[in-house]
Amino acid sequence: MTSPPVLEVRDLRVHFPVRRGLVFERIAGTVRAVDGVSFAIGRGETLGLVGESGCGKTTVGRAIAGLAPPTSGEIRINGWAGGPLGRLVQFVFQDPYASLNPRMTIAQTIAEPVRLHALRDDREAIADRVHELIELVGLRRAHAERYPHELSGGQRQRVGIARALACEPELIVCDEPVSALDVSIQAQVINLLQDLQDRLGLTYLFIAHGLGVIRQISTRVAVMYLGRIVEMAEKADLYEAPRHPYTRALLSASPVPDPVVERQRRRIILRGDVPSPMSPPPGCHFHTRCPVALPDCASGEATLSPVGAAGQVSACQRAFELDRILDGSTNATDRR
Amino acid sequence: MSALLEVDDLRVHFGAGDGLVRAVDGVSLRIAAGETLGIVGESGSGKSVTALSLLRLVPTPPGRIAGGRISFDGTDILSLPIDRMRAIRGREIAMIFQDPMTSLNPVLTIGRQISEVLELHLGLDGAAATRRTIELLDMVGIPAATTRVGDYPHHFSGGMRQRVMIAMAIACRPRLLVADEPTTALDVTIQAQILDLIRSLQRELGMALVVITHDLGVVAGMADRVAVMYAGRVVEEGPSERIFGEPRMPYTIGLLQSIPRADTRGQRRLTPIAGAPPEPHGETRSCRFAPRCVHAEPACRQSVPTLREIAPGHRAACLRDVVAPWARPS
Repeated sequence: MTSPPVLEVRDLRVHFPVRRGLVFERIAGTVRAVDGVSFAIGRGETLGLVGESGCGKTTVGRAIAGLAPPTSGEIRINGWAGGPLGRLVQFVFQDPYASLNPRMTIAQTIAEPVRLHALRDDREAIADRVHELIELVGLRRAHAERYPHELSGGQRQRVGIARALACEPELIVCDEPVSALDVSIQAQVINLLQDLQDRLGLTYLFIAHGLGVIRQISTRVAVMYLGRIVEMAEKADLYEAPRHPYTRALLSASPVPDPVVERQRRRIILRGDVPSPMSPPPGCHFHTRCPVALPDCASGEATLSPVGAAGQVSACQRAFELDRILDGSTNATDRR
Repeated sequence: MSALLEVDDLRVHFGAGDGLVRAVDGVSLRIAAGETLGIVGESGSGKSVTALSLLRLVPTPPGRIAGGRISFDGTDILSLPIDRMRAIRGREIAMIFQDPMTSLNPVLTIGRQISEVLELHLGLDGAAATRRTIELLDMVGIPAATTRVGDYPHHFSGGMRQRVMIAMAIACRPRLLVADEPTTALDVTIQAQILDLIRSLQRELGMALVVITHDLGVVAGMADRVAVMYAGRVVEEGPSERIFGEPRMPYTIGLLQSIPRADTRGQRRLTPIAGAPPEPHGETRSCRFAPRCVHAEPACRQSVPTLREIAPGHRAACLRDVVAPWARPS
């Protein structure tokens, strides 16, 4: 038998109560941030988790890293599901400035987890490890004694990555790690994450809203909408033969830095806003904005089923008709 | 074609003495009536300050317009008395900002905020202003406009608030709309809706449009011409097709090679630009990009390269003849 996946998530649900009232506080409703999500990530793989704000992608990452208590479901690391996962799952945050202690030098920041988890024995070994990590993420030794405010955004994100690596984790959850960075710096950090993966065999859950970044870094991709995964596939299959209308809409709405392509593309412009996760629509959550919804999409459960390529799953009952119907759809508007 | 807006050697400084920041350091731009100009650049490039200058909205102090000319339809707007400038703002040149929540007044209904513009600039009375407000909300795609005029900004989603901002901006049919990162705070499907709306309104009203953004994809889909800014200066400018297809400034080429694309079988490794943008302190005496440029030679550090013509309408501020690896041979 092959070894279990590094991460296995089964039917994960994370619900947040919404409280109203100051004196007589009562629970007015529940935000179903994550509402039945299952997936696995193999060693050395990167699963890209993509979706718009409020879809629950960050909550999935936080639950896996132990930063948000799951309401139900199972999270296994290397097949093991008991208790806190501690250092085995590390988190790289979007805003490196807010996630670094301003009073600690870079060396102290990176040394702390090494010391706390007793990963090196003595002070000398810890110091060696810190320098090793600093160089590994492309910083210079001179940065070790600096404070976060003395570094640029890209350098701070490198520190965040070094701190995660210091724990020698099984899985690194990267939550929008490049979204706050300028384009030229973004590429430096993406390349760094890829190089580290090649050298150290790291496993990533990479959460982002940008389809370009996700395509660049992922092995497989899962698309989330209102607390659920609506499509998941190998990267090439998802981008070249998407089998869910939401995936298609996202792809067609993502701007491409090429005016020739932009002028010729057909866009699926979705109507309206994402409904509130406090009261998601019944049936397929996407049916209220879906350009190809049928009457019965508003009832029953939209479950993920295998479609097309090996490992590709979609929650759309019309998955196989999309090529035909979306091309002639009235919702697809031509530019100019 | 004569220009609707002409910016000539604009300089905007913040602070003074050793801390003097030259946020905009000699920018010249031309925008023809009905045309769309995209201004792209990373944070600190001076693109937003340039946009604010067009409406004389640079906060003073600490900022001040230290030099240059901005002429709108032949009028030098930098020397206008403030009341004449107010008459142009909103009526002739309107602006939409990145974050509609901070640019709308939270304690006034959106109907009140739009009618105010109509009363002030067009002299409409209460009933006529309300009628027109409803028409405008309808035009920007706000459902049930008749009932929603009485709602407050916090009743609307981010995308809907941006629609309200756009309704306010086009209320007086301005001849120039300046959009500063209009969709940066929005999700991609909402961004597509808003960009679609701006495009169709521009066509309908025949406005000129300046789109300021860090997102080269947004610019590619909107702009007729593009100006690329770096450290307070325009370093390349030209028709969109040329800027994306045959860029000649190493910074532009570097930016395009840094972007992960959603539409190409992206197994290509990204080629980042080394280092980080300079702090805009001190006088510019050399090419500001030279420290990060792989093509830099000693001459690049001895003088400030000026924009030189590469092809009709296409200018780049580079001494070298660098060609993008993907450029079509012309």
